[in-house]
Amino acid sequence: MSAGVQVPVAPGVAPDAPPRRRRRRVNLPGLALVVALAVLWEVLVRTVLRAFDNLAPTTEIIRSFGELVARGDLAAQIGHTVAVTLIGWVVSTVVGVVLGVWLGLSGVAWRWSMASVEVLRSLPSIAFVPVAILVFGFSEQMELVLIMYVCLWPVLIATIEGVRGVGPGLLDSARTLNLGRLRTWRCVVLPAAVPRLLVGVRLALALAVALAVIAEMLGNPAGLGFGIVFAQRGFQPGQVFAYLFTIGIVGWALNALFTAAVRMFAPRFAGSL
Amino acid sequence: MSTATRVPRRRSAAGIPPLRGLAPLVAVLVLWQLLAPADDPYFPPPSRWFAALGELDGAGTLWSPLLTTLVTFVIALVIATLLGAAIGVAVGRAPGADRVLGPTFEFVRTIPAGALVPVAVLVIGYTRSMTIAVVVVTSLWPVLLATRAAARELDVARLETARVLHLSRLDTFRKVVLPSLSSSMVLGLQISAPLALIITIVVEMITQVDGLGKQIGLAQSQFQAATVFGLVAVTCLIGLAVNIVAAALARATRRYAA
Repeated sequence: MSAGVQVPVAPGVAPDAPPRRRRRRVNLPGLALVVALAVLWEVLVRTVLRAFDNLAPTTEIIRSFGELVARGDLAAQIGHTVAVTLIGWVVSTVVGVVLGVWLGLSGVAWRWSMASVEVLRSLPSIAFVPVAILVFGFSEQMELVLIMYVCLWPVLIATIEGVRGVGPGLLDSARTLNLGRLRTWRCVVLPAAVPRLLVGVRLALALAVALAVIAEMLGNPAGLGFGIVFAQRGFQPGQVFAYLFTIGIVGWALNALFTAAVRMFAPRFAGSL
Repeated sequence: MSTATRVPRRRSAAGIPPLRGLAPLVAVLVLWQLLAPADDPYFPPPSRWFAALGELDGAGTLWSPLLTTLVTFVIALVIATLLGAAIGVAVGRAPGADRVLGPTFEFVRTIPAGALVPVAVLVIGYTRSMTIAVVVVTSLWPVLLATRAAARELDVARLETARVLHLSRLDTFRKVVLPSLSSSMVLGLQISAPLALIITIVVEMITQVDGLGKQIGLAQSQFQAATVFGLVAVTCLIGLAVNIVAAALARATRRYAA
């Protein structure tokens, strides 16, 4: 359908409205505020906030953005960050789902490792950035490993909870219907687990973008994260703000694409997002 | 209870995993200790971590950065919670404002913390206020969203009851609104707290502003693997403690609200 046109409507505005209506209705007052803020910022920076040398008015931000695009830096950096994010995210999702289904279905595996999973997933992942830099150096590999590590936990936990959350009633029905093990999985366990799983996978995508940027700021000299730090060190406020918005838009767009993909390919689960 | 054996095994999603599940983690640490050479440049054994922490303590660069980070974290978390709750209630009770602010919120919320750091540095400089600003902006969202959702669904009947009872505005807020919102607020806080800790440390790492993050970054740039692992272990312990405290707070609030 018209999934290509994504309008930034706050998902919380009408939680009960059917998704189709939400998609079509453009939030005009909301967009007007965005424009008003942009204008206000321009005026403020040029008048009241003049004393701050390091602020860039809206027009300056737009000009810097155009410059970055023209130089070709931005496209390459976006490409790098998005590629690394997606690769890490996909790998983690596959590993997380497989491990999660195993831990969710096997009582023995769950009892003998879930406490470890709980501890590991609650560790502040960022603390591992220096460890990754230490071990893998300033490289793409470091960035990928970090993204995969961080993305793994939400997917794993969501899968385990989804699989274990399948009601005993459903499983009893499957038994009554004499579904085999495989069919019970395919027809009962997985569909029941998907809504939780999708939430975890979406969270992982947001984390992947955030981690990619941080890994690039601290370690791997490539991508948008490197771009923004480079611009800041060179005291280029216009570019810093341009990068900030680019990173925000990239994160937002990946999330929107994911939601659109779910609506398109698995519409019956779209409500769980 | 004899029939219990025939009842299909209970699968509760919220079950608390038994402690024996820690076995794999412990096994890895023990094997690490036994197999890694003491001077391994990448993966020093756990005993070396503690030795390295001891050295930091001796040099006076363990407790003071730790305290700096904790204070920054607590200040930022308190501000984020209050601000998030206030905005959440305001926006949740005013659908018009909610709709107007929607796209702006939606966008600001998705900006990763890391990307805000260079902007904050340009505007505020390399200071603790900069760290606090970044942490507040990025970690107020869970509280804000949870409070907004709760404020939207605030029970109309309860508000009407308050009106019938002629409760003053303050009393209505204290006795009706607050208890109704508190559990969602704390639920948000439970997500915000670990987030705020992580972001505090990230900002310290990126900007080298005083704190635990700076120490970890320094150790890493000097290839002191044991110190890095030691400080990461300390960070993890703080993270676990924050989670436990937040969970206890959530339980206490649920009891208060019920």
